[in-house]
Amino acid sequence: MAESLASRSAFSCLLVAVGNGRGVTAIDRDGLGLATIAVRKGSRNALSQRIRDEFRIELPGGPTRAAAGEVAFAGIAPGSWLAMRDQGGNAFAASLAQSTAGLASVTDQSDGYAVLRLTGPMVRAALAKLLPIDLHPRAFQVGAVASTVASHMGVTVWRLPDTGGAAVFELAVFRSLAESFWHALAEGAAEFGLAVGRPC
Amino acid sequence: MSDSAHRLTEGGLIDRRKPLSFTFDGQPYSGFDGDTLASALLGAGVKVVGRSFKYHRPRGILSAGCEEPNALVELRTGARREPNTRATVAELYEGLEARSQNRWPSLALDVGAINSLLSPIFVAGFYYKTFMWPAAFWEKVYEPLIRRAAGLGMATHEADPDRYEKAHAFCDVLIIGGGPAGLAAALSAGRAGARVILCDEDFVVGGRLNAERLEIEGSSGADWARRAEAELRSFGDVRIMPRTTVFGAYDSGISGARTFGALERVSDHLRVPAPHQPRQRLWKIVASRAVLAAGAVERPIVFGGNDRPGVMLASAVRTYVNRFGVAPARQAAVFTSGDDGWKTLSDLAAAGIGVAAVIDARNDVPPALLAAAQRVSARVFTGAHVADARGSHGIHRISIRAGNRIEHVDVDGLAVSGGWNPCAALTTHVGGRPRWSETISAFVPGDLPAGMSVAGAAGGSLTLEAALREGAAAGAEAAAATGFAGAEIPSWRTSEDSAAARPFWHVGECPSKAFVDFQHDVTDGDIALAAREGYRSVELLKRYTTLGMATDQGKTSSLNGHAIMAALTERSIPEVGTTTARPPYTPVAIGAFAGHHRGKEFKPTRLTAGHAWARQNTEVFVEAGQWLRAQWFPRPGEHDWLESVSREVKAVRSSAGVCDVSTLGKIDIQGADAGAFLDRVYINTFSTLPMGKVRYGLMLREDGFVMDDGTTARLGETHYVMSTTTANAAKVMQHLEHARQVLWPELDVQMVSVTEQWAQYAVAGPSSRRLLEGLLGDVIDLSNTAFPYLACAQLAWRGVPVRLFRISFSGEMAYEIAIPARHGDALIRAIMTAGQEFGAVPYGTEALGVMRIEKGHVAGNELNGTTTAGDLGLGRMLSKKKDCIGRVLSGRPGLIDPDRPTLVGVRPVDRKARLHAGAHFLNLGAAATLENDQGYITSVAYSPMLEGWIALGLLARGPSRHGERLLAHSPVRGGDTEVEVVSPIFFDPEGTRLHG
Amino acid sequence: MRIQCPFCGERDLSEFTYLGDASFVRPDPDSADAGERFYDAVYLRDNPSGPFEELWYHGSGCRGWLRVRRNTRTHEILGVELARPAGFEA
Repeated sequence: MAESLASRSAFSCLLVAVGNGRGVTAIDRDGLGLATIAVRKGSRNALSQRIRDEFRIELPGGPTRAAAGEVAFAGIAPGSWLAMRDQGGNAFAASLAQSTAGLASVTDQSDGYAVLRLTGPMVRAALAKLLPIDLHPRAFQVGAVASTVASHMGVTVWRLPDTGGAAVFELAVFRSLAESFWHALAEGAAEFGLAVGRPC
Repeated sequence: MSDSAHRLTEGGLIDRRKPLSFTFDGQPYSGFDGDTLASALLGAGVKVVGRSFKYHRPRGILSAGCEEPNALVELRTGARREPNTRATVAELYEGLEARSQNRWPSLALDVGAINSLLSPIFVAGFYYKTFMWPAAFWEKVYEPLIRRAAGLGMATHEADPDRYEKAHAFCDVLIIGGGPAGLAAALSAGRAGARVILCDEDFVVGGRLNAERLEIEGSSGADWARRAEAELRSFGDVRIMPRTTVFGAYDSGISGARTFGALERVSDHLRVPAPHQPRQRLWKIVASRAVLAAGAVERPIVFGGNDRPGVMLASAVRTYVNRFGVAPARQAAVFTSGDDGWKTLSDLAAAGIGVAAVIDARNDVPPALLAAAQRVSARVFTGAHVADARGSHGIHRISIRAGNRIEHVDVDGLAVSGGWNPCAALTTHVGGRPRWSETISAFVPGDLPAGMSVAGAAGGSLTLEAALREGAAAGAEAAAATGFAGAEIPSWRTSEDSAAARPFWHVGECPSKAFVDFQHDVTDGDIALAAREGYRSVELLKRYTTLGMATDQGKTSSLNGHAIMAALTERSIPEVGTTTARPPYTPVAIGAFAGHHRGKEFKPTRLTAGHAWARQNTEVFVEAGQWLRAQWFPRPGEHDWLESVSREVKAVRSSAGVCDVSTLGKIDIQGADAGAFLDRVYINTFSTLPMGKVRYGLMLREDGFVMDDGTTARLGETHYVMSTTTANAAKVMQHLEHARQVLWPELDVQMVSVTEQWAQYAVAGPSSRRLLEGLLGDVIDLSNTAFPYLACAQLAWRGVPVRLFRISFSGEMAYEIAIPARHGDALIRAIMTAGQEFGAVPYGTEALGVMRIEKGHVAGNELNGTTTAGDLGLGRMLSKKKDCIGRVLSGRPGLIDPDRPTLVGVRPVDRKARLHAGAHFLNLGAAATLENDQGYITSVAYSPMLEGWIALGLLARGPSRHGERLLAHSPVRGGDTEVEVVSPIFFDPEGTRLHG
Repeated sequence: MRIQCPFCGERDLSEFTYLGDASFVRPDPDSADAGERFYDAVYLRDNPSGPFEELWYHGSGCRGWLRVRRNTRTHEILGVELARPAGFEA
């Protein structure tokens, strides 16, 4: 096989710290394997069983995210989930399609979305300038998922367990919007200091 | 002019250790930290701060709040110059620069004041009466004249250098107003544990607690407010937002949560915003419950000379004395119609200001008030009124009419109190109607928007005791409604505070002009004229006289005007009614609504995975919706776009070219019924499409007109991928979701957009196969037999999944190759490298357009929402064996009329002539009338292959008219051109090149 | 206006697209008077003042088509459900 083909993150050359401090830290989640998985007619129970067997994950019925190890399923519509696997790449969708064949339609979205992880003491204040949804800890708990608009750009956001006392969110936007999204984020987060963290 | 004698030596919420210098009309002055521009000007002895709108009369400061109609100034200079800023709410900062407005050449000597002498022609309705004719004079003479004479401040012509941003907030209880009622509400809701947001337009919360000498629990109101604020700030879920005006209430949802608009003036109190801080922030606040505690605005009384500098609302006088340590006068009088105005006496006296007289329109005044007047040695006039105030640049004398007696009293300030108007605008923004209160002679909130309660003066309860009591109850009730019940409702002891009053609007006959609307110069005479001329409804009155239509929205004027109209027409005020307040409550800069969406960030930009590569090869991009697409790729030495585009076309047609087509919509469609579903949305059949094949499809709207077109490939038994036009991608997705969820929910179909997943490039031209063989030769056989026209395949290439389609928009042998977007950059570079030996060129949207016109392929210009499949020459695609969306209505008589304009090609008879899109077809010799219209040109291109201009158009009975000559009539662009009707397929009509 | 999406929760109006009368039922395309029936269904819509059942698309959220009962006089939202009957994806 020839040498592997160059890969370019949607955020490549974009993530530059803005302002002073580390009120918000952004981390590029390039490499995250992503796939939409939609249940075939009449297969909800069988699909849930298959996901349970395969990943030890209970497919959520609403807009929440269930995770085990490197894999997670986030409910994005009735009967539809965004499945993700850390460093899963395009191979994740292919293997998921195989293991749920006949029960679900799986579509690779690893390149369709650009995903940022955002955390830090001021992350909610910064996100309040982007997202028209309530991110209060009571309203948007760990595991919550929402598809909404940020500054006229479609975005799916989910909350991960807190780290270092700060809330952690991941935001997925259409890849082509990565630059506009970063600008909108950086504009609002600059006053708190927007730092760039090492990819994980 | 500067006179520090107007500044008291002690008291108030200003910091005398922090002097701030500023300029007004170029003159240097000084004020203190905690001042507004208005209090600093008054403290410096400045009385005249502007000229009025119509008569250019000298005006002073009327109020101490957002209702100010007179003291409008231009603030700041250069690009930050902001007109019509109310000096009463502009917070003083070091180096502030302000200028008076609407005067020339200077504030003291204003040429426009001649308007005052011409006032007979400037009465109500003068626009309609005076400038009616000659009509030609309007644009050139009257309008510029009026605009210069009657204007407000001048906006800057430079771009605003500051940032504005938008933000969202959510809470259980939103409290609008931080006066006693608002603070009490916040305390009770906050103590109950609710998420509370308290907004106050002022930079110090406390409202009238900061402005009056009132006491709560034995301490001053201002101290109590500081303590309340400190307690609120200690709650984790309470947010206090000073400098924030809630300007609008909007519709709610099932949960009762309502959206409010609020403007936070983040940096208006600074010379320039701090780094990374916006100038202003526009908040969308979603609140489960809201407590309106916005207080009330005091009314002026309409009497002669009531607009003269030195005449001030009584509450404003008290505010300047108590909060800002400013003496607005040395010798003052008070004109009131209620107990409230009498408070001013003791406040003035305590500040060492003489009180010459108190004039009460009532005959019966409580003895306690009379005794208080005696204590400050003020003369008392009851059952009396001020008929006139004299002194154009500051009053020096008032005339008091008591019965038949006229008395003159020398004063340099007059405090006026005509009662209070609750600030209830937010209760009417979503349809509520205010209700007349006989108790306070004002409109109070009527039906409240669901989830909103009102406390204190905003609801017409004007005493401090009521404000605290109602606030605490409303806060607790709102908290309980959002799940935070059971907390004790706090209560507080207050000092005495009476607000009894009798309505008094207008003193009647006056020796000089008596103003109702100060900002728009509407007088009592204008109201009378409107009544005489029949404009008696409040809506007509408003439009005829412009009463209440200024930027202050009539906060101090509307009710006085309506009351005068009521008296003139012998109706009650509730019968006359009131106009409806609309958002915003106070002016909001357009920049705040735009937020950061300006310039390049006006809307989001979508960039393809190949964009960085394209940037290295061209600077010419075109917007296609949100996408940026390369338009052409200029080469050194090329003089214009036509040269570049023609070269690109010739290169494709002679060897190979590459175009980024990633922006086309791509929809992944799967499920057992995917084929059946496609049959129902496309006019042609897809369930029979073999795997590994692609087919062109056309979809209609249910009304029978064409919606979109594109190719759909069958990747597997239950797996298709559809392409849409770039422009319609989102619309098609919505349409398909409607079909899937609403029309045929029983079908087993799943779909999702994959536009962003795949970077896709068209490789076109006679050398395209050899070019791709160089890249993919070891993973796929591209021979015509193995991979013919309309074949598709999924491959793995260098460890990456790749999709290959043999489809063509150019009419050449062509492929589209798709790769996961992260590899899009690598792929386009690999294609260009592989193409070097064939002279392959990148081509942009222009060359793409030229080639599709040469081939007669329809695109957005033809899929314009008014064309049918038949109009586009695609009628035979409509399958007769099945139904689909739009099939039935596409057969309507009007849609199958043979006279309908149908797709043709046209060429100019003079092959050198240029054609213009939009030109209409006329038979030769026919007049250019609608009846003679034969259709129109949709798309035009210069064809380098035909060496001339060519066009597609829609022509009545077009296909039967090939060879006919017509006129292309383009009156707005280039006149008339004689054209010949031809087949829409200009180039390679047999299609031999497609198959290679 | 805020619309309670059954899947996503209550969201701002700006996330939704309006279509219109939810009572639209696609007529039988094979009926003898299909043309007239489609014409009626597509063009002749009621526009009542007061409660009205409408189709809205949650395009910026779950892409669900919703049946929204709305008072056209007051913009009060009286009820929302997914247009796709429950169970079709389950």
